[in-house]
Amino acid sequence: MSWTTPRTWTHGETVTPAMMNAHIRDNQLILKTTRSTAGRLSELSSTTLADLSAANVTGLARVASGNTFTGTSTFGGTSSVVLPVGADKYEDLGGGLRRGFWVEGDYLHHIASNQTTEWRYLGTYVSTPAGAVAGSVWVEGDDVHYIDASGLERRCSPTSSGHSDAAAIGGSTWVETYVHWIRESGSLEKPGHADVSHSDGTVHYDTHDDVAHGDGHSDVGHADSHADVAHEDTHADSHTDVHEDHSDGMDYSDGHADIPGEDSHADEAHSDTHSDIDHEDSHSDAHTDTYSDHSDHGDVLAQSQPTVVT
Amino acid sequence: MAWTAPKTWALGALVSASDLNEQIRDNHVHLKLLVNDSGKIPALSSTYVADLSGANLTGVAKLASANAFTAGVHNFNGGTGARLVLPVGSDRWAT
Repeated sequence: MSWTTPRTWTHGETVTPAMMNAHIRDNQLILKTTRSTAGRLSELSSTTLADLSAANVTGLARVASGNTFTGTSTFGGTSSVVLPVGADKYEDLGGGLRRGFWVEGDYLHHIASNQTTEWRYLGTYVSTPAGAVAGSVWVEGDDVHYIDASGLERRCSPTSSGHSDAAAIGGSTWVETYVHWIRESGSLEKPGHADVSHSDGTVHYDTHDDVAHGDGHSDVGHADSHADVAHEDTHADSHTDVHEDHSDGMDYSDGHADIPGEDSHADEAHSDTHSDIDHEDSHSDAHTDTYSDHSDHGDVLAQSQPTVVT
Repeated sequence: MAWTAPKTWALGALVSASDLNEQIRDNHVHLKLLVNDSGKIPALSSTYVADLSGANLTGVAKLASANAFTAGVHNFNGGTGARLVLPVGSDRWAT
């Protein structure tokens, strides 16, 4: 059956069944093809539409162009989400502004809400699942999991300082300065980073105890000995006193001669010995320093703490 | 206005006003429900389409099947009410 161009009916003409069947019955059946008995388009299929392209349909996501979702998009059931994977997979808005959420190498990157600062998380290695698609991302328990560029599953742990909103949907994810998400079940927000309040001024004490000790020593015994070599000190003095006798009228002569003498002595060899008393130079100093430092503040685990990418 | 199955016209039959009203007028009114005065379907909505499933459409993201986005920026921050909910559960990676 095909469409027949409707004829122009004229007064007084004989209307034949063929005319009526072709122009009325068959054309109406053609017009009825796409419609339900209630008068609506039956379905969007090749039965009712010659061209199924939705290029002119509005309000649908397109696979080959940009999409701006203004409502809540939920990837539930068995669905999966794959983020862009590669270097600098953000949208460049111009003027230094950017936005995006992607996987680059081992890291999970995002642009902060200021559209300027790029952050990245290094998730803790979890496993190497066979067949996992790089860039896959999901919420599991408290954590955000992702498959890095090498196919490794990693997870980012949050802090526990989020708030709970009864209307929040598990898995909701968004960017503030850091990535925030709602944990798998329940409605508790999990910030990707938050400093836990702390005090660096906690008083602490350093104490120590000196253990009593004794200083004792013992010198190793030894002998100092020497031997003086015997010797003789000898000398010989000789002189002659010459004088003239005064004359008392009778000359006389005094003459004498000092006989050279010898002073001799002999040093006796001897030994000087002494012994030092043995002793020990030893002591044991022992003390114990005990202290209690203040507790460091509890930032989120290292693997979850995002770092700025410059 | 309900649809009336087109009748099979027979030789010598008298075409009555009732026939023309039912077969021509009323059925044409019925057919007119789908289109505007220019003959175009105004919108793909429940007013005009009994089944709005897009399962047979091509080139669009489908809610009930896999979607591979090959280009473009998919911005989940287009309005203040925009939200993105990621898959929730164990081992939710794509395969």
